Amino acid sequence: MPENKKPAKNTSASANNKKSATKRKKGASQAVAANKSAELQPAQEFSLEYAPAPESTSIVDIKSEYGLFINNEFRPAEIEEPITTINPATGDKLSQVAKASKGDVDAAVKAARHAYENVWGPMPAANRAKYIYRIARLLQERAREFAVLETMDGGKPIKESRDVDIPLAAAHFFHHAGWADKLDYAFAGKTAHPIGVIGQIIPWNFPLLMLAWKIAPALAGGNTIVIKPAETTPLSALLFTEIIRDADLPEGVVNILTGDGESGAEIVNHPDIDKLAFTGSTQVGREIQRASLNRNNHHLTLELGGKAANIVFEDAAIDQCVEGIVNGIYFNQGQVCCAGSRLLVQETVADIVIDKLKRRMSTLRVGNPLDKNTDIGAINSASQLAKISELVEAGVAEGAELYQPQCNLPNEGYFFAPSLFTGVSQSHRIATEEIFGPVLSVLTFRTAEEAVEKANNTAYGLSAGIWTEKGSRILWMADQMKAGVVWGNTFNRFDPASPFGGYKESGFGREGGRQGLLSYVNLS
Amino acid sequence: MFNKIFHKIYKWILSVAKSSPRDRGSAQNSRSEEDGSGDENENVSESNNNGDEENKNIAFKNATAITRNDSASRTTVLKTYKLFIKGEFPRSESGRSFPVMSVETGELIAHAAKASRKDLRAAVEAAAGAHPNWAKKTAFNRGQILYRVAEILETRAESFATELGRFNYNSGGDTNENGRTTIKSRQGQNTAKQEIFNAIDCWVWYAGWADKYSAITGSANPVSGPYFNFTTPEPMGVVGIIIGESQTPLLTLINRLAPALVSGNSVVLLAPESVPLPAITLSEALAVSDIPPGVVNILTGDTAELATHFLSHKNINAVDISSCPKIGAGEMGEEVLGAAADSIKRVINSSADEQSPYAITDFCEMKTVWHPVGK
Repeated sequence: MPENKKPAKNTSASANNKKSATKRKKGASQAVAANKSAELQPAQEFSLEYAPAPESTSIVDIKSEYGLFINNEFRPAEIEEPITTINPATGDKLSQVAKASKGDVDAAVKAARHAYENVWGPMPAANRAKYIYRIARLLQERAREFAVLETMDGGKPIKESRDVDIPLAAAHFFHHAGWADKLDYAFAGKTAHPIGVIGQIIPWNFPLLMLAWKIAPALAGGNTIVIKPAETTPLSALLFTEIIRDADLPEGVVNILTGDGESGAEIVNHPDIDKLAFTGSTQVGREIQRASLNRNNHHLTLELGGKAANIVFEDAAIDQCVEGIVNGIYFNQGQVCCAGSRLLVQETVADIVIDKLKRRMSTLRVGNPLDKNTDIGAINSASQLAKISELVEAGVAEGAELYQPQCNLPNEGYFFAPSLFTGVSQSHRIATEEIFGPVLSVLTFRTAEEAVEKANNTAYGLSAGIWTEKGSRILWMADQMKAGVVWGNTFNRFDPASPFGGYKESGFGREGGRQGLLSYVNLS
Repeated sequence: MFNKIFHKIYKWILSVAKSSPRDRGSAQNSRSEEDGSGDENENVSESNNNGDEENKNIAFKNATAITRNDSASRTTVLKTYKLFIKGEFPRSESGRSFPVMSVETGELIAHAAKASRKDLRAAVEAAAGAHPNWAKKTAFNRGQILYRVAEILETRAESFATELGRFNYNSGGDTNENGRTTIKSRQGQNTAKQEIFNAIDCWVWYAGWADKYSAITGSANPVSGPYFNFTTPEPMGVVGIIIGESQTPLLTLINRLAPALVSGNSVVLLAPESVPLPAITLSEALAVSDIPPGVVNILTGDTAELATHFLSHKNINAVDISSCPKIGAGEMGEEVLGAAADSIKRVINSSADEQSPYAITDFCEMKTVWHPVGK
């Protein structure tokens, strides 16, 4: 009765995730033995070797090639320079997509402009709302298909695409659908108007979720869209075109152009785009800001990199916080702009936290992203893997101590073991640069003031985590953080009703909630 | 003994002052103001070639023999316009100044200090130092302190109007090819008076927002899960404000300065190049208010020269260019603005004369805090 065995193992796996203190993986005893300061119970020998439980890919129908989606139709690119997209977990080619160039962008902008002026703009807001509701519902109905495709194209564990990416993407559409005909109530004393044609460029770490974060509020604001998914993860956006058609969204309201950085630059530089929204690296964000000098401050939003501090005080609920640390840095292989990549632990509990963390890390399963038991999937691309490797090597070279649990990485595809650095100083590259990988740098502090100083000692300011059982300290620390999102006794929580965005070099503008809506309307 | 030392210091100060070409320039332009209203009596008097300092020197020596002039023959005391940094009035460290001329008559009104990059740095340092305590004050307290400024401005309304009138800043004007506003002469004092009254009313309006704007623009967010989640606006930190040329220089300045201060930002403000003096007169009111030193710093100088440093200075979190008329030209050229991108600096470019709570949040970051809810 294999059907019965599998859930049983899944249950024990999730129990193990929650109560890691008593159970751990065979073969990891070396790591714990090395930390004599830890006063932990000897771990039970307990096998976590699971039978493979891969999600079937039969639900997904990937075409051999895709064109550009303009006016609700696919058309070939003006200049044929197709881009191959692969499964990063296997290296296998999945499909090839068109690369948009100047003429294509122009055609898409014209389509969007026409739709804005003749259809979407003049349409009663209540009708706009209903179209967005349709999108939300259709996404929910096809959630499984999207989840599998997202994992195949991007390498993220199926449990994350299934439980986080796709449901949240649908929630973003559902939430914003309701805003479309309630804008008059959103901004006190002001009337909200659409901005016009919006150009959007999104990253590869949450392909469909970022598409939803961008498209949903823009549609609710009454705008039309030209959006470019990331070069390495175009497939979920291309599948989304079926949702657009099935929802009967009028032609030209959402235009999807695949391509690379050059295609993105054509969007950035197109004179008839009224507003730009970009999520990606700080480096590219700089170039976009430099190219957007004539835009007023609401007409450019940037959601860029981060180097978040996850701060653990001695009175924190340690087991709970170890789970939060793991979630903070190993969620989506650490390829998260708000990842808690710097762990700041109060000195008094540093040893116990690091020991428990290492034990927990040894239970993380790295491997096939389509396997339901996989915790850490594939790194998105060869170049990202190279970047992570380079920074980890730099960490070792600069004298920090590297810990990686024993794990068998697949022979094919791009994988990186969950990593932890101790003995990190603030000037190390691994403490200042965004790694965008499953690599945690641990620093310590003595006082709350020192924690604040160290946490804010970064050019970024996207997020922060605070772990303490003292309520007043949570609020005081939250107040001190120069970061747009502060998680107290939790980490990496997202919701369409909750604004998200950064301070400093993490960008400007917010996404989500009423404050996010402000990014997609003009007030008068 | 003490007197002797004092006397020596006084003499030394006089000698230094006399050696400054800027001061010699203004001394030659001592002006008589018959009825105090000034703008109708713009005559430059030839009254005294010795200059003010020398007169004072003599007066000091003959302290017992003071002669009282009647107002007709009295030589006015001219103001030296300096910078306003950390609650003090220093000259530019560069020793530079520039003449401010009446647009209508072409006559010298006064010299303004020509701030340097170093002055900007000092101002930013002062602002960064003052910001935490200003932001930490309760919103209610900040509101009262700002309201107090309006009280002070109200008592000085007459002299502001007089000064604005005398400088010939005025209503009605054209924009030339560089996007600069050409300034024409004001129609009497009424317009000037109206401007200062509008400016005071604007200030009072913003002061009242201090303990309200976050209730309007922040939120408690109904997230899908057992979490308490709220978003509040908070000040960005050090804000640079570059004031462009305007037909109502003081009103424009206050309409940009007040919303930045309400949330707890500290400010380094660059006065418009051709109309720098009202900003410095304003700083005299700020200096006697309860606004802590360093919260507002005001520079005068060459906008083209300083704008680039405003936009590239990494300790300035945001630069407001809303009142600068044309982006991409002149002092706001691409190279200047492009410097902001190096540190993803917020460049605020919204409506310059809008009065709105959203002008306050233009100078704010939105911070969202999550916490689990549980027993």
